[in-house]
Amino acid sequence: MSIVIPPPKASGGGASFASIPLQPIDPSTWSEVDPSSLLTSVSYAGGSTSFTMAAGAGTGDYCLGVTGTHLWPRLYTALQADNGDGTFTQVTSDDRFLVVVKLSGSSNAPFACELVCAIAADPTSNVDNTMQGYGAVARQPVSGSLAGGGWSIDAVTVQANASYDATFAVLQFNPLRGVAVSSWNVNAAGGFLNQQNRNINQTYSSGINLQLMVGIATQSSAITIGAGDVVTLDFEYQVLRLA
Amino acid sequence: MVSVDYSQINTLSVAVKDTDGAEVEGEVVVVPVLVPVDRIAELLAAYDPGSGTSPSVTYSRPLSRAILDALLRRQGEQ
Repeated sequence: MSIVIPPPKASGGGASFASIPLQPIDPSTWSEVDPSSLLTSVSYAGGSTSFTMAAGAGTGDYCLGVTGTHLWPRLYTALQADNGDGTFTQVTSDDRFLVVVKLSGSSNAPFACELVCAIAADPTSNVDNTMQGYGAVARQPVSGSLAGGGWSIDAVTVQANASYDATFAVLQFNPLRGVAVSSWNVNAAGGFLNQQNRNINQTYSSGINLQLMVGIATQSSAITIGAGDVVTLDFEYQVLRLA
Repeated sequence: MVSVDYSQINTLSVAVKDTDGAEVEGEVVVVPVLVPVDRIAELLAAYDPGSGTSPSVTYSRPLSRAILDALLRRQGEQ
């Protein structure tokens, strides 16, 4: 499925903006960064991505937030906007663009975890301000209500609800500037549950080829990952690069 | 002196850093406190972070009441 962004006042031709499709994400063939060897395998089937984990003792470095060091496993590929003609344009830090993310298919997990779909300047970096990751988060506790929300660099804001079904997020970028992550959660009927916002407040250097990244982290520093634990989520996204 | 943007109060689960860079993790109520820019100099001039009795009641009470009044109203509406 392709999207064509027409010039101003264009009429006829091109795809409609009235029904923009989200693209399913299959990260199983993407480049992998796993500094602590926490990931045994990644598989994709029917829109769902499954992460099979190796054993891991609790540390804040396996969390999305706060320690400043990111040792949780992630996969990434070039962030590309669809030109609508079978070609793609690499999105860079000099672009003005939006990324829409949907996370669904969540369920209680064998260890309390947070899965992220994000834009990153350098997914290979373990340093928060070099990685520069901003994205949507699905939180899967071992029991209790599921949650979703947003992530910026080293901080997570999520909300839980007993009727949680999916998280939507809009990641907003201006040239050389990450602007904000706005997210909201819905129930199985698509009804609104709650919403979250995080200001990004980070600048980019010029000329960075931005990356689309998914990853899996623990919910807190006390969480232990069991060998063979499997966590599953459906990731979808779309990039809207403005002229 | 200060007020709260009441409609933006939200109950969230966070993992963030506070002013000192310390980790804050858990279920919280975010209360947006509005401090007029033209009152900041006055507030900071009256505050001694090294003193256990600073800020004085003149400044601390309005700050506290703004937050507590917002929480009280929110609790009453839930």
